[in-house]
Amino acid sequence: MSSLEEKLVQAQKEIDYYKGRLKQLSTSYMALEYRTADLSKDVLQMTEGLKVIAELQDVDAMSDEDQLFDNLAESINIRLKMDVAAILLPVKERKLEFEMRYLKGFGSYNTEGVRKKIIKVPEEVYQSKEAVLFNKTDEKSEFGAYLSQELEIENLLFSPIIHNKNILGYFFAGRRTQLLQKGKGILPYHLNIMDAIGGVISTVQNQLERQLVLEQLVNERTKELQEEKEISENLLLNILPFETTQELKKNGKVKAKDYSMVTVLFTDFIDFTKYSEGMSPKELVEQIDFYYREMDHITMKHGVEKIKTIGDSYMCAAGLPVERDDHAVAAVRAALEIRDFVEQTKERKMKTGEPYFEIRIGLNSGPIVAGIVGIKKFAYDIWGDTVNVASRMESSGISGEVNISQSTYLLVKDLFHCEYRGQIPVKNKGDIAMYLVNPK
Amino acid sequence: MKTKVGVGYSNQTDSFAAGKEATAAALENGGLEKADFALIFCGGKHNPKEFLEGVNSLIPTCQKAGGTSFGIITDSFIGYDGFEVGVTLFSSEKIKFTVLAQGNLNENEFVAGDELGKKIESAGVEDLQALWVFYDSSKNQSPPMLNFATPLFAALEPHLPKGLPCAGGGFLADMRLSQCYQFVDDKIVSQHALAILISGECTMETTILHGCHPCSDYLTVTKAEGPVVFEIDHRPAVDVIHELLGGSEVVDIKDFAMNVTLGINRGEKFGEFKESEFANRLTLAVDEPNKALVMFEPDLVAGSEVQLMHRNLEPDYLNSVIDGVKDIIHKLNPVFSLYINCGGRARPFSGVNFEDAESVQDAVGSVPLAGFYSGVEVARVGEFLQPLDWTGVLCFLAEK
Repeated sequence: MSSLEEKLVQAQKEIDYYKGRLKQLSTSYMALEYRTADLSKDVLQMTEGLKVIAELQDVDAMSDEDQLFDNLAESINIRLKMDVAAILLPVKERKLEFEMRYLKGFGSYNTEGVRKKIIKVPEEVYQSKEAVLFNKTDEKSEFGAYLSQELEIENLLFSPIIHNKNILGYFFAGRRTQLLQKGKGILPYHLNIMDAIGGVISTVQNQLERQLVLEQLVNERTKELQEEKEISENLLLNILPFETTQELKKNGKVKAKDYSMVTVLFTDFIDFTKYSEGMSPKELVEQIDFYYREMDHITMKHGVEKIKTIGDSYMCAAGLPVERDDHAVAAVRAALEIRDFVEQTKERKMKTGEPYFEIRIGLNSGPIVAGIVGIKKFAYDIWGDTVNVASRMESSGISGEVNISQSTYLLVKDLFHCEYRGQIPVKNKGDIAMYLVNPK
Repeated sequence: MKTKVGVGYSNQTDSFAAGKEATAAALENGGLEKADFALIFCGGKHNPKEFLEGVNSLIPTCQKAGGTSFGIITDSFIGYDGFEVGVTLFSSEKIKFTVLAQGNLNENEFVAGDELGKKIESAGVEDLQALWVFYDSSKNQSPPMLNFATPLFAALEPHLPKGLPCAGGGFLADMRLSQCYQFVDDKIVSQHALAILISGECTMETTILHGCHPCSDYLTVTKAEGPVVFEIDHRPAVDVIHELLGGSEVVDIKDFAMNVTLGINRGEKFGEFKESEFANRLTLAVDEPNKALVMFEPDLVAGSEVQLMHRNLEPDYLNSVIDGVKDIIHKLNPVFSLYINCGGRARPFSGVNFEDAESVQDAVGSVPLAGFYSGVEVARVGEFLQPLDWTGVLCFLAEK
């Protein structure tokens, strides 16, 4: 062999050596890369799946359930690169039967046909609470094959949504065989993702249940409060006019208000002290209560506002808190009815020998100021000379009669029979014209 | 007036709303009041009719072309969940688009290519400067099959002016070859190839990126039928590749599908490596009983010299391409860029840890970008139009 040939052989040997080394390095590296790439694909798709869970982070008991499940099914479809996804819920009163809800199928998938399907879950599958992962190429599961046929998809998973050890429903996700990728249908990690989503739903369900309990408690408390409020308001209405309670609620206080013309009515039981001495305190209160209840009815009937009682004296006024033109007429009518009631009661009680009261009633019309004073046990009251004169009308009155002043007389004279009593002296007021009023 | 281009997208699940939203965004982004031509891509999970109605609600009279794609790419968005739609609107006095279509692709790709070529010739478009060709990748039959690009473009090429800049891709609704649709103005068709003739005062440049390097000797295909390669160097193809990859202890032949890539060097056989001169062919499946490789395209015929290609799973391979892209942008001042990217290269399907389309978005900068994820990509490799696998085809359209 010539020296040149030897050099060529040596060179070829070197070339073969380095080619061999290079081949070994590059091809073994490639084989590794093939597997790495496949693993990376799974990891990347798994990451996409985890995004479904991430999207649930803001979900809580306040979330709209329909919207939540609808979005969830769509997200499972898109993120996990499925052809169809749905949530199945139990059919009412039909054990082990589940209906399609929130079905998201796109493209050529028979969404409308599958939407009507009812899935019957075998008792043993239901009791096991296990998921079904079915890939047409490698599975022999009878239930999986049934699902595949009913749900019209080659590869699928059917995973229970478990809450407090009970099955709320099932997740269903399906994927047709991918021809341009390695033949993978549903993978175990898809199931892991569904389990995690199911966990989130269970947590939300827990929140929902706790919220329901809380809502029930709140409702009960609110009802109690409402009842308390109504009692308070009724009590308030007993001591204050309605309009005044509204002003008090709105502003926390009530301004004193001037009224240019009202009619004030006073009553007094004659010889009350004498009668009261013959009764026990309990009997006395019962008697007064009997009269005052009826007088309350009468004043309410005529739209006359009860102001207060002071011992045996009942004080009311017409024309407030809502002003009215016929205040004097209303007050006189109330006065006459009270008088008649007391007289009729007297006749009845005389017959049975029971104690009875006689009454004097006085009315006066004129301006007053009305309002509330004090911060405790406050009461609506009226002030002014008109009130004082009304009181004098009562004290200068006659038993069983209604005694009215000149100002009241001028307002009612056309409707009632008024008998002039003359100018009668009144303490600190001089002589005042008085009239006895009766129905015509 | 300079050509205006607006690109919009939507990923709403309501097809009408998605079409309308993407169109409105395109009008706004391009500052357009009207459009002369619309390139429209619609996700495979959408209803194409409703999508088109959504588009037409805003641009009813505009000329349109496009189709189903399982993912889209724009300046600011990349998506492949099946609900993405992309609308690109052109308004130009200098660039004209003419759309021609040929059906019956599923019956005979070669005949369809020939007929489309004749239509292009007959159209007599003056100042023809570039061509986009999009076609239905799915035969929509049972069992599903691909429409092959090799005979389609082999028949089309003789009808085209020599060296006409050309780019294209196969529409794919999803990874299981579901029915795919094409849009030609207001018509929705299937099994069609569309030719978009670009004419006027414009120019187009195309670059390809795949990041694959040869890592074996030249191997000769010695027996093949259609897309099935039975023998390499007179031995069963699977055995040859298995041996190259280190044997059964290192790799399972089941892992060959969607991984094993064979490259054809259209450049100088032992010259310096140039990425743009390699056409890649990806293995779709392994025919284990026959120890054969089923490829995406039927162009690896007996006598073809191929090399086992190593796919670069790191983004660094993009750097040189991006530099080239920047040079093109600097030179052309393009008005639009179109990126047709292999669906398998999308992150969840490739297993790589980066999204090459993001690098393209960065590289094109302010040039409006639209694109879609395809089944097969088409570009000139060497002198001829070449269907490609595992490749991104990026083209720039500029006014002269």
